[in-house]
Amino acid sequence: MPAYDGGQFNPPAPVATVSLRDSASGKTVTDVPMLIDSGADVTLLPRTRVDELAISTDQNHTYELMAFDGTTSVAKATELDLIFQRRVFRGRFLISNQAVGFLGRDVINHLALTLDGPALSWEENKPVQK
Amino acid sequence: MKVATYEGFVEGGKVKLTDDVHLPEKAKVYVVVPEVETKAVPFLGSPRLKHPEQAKDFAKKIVEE
Repeated sequence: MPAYDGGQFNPPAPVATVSLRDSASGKTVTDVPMLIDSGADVTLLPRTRVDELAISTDQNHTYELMAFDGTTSVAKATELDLIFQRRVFRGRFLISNQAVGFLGRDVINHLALTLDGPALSWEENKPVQK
Repeated sequence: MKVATYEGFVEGGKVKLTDDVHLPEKAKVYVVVPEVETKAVPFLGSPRLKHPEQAKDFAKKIVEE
């Protein structure tokens, strides 16, 4: 069971590591930290890690985001593979300037995750094989 | 400490020097930015789409590996 991250977050928070892959070239970056954030409508990837793939962003289309306090910002998007829990999530992702990304509901709604706060760990619930 | 000054520019988030400047690999550099205001990156937790109808753009194709 992956442990919560108490180094970058106080109180500790559930952070997963994912891989990002350029589906055209196969180039992959690993160990990308992502906060498991059920409050995030969509997933945001750390720009510095996306830049390592040297893939293009959609220059013609931006998305407006709204924070909890109502402030807005604009994010660009790119198309790639996000690999998490042995699954490939292929599609459009937003890019953030923060060092840690956010796994939003466009990804986590496809998984059954348990956040065990007292144990400061999280895990995916696997379906029981019959 | 000896200091040399070169002019460069930022492109794609990276500092690039002009073609006639060649520095040794791993050379330590300091960047001075004239007349530019930089903004601190705010922590934007739990971001929401301002236009929720755009959520359909982020539908994922899922493949087991």
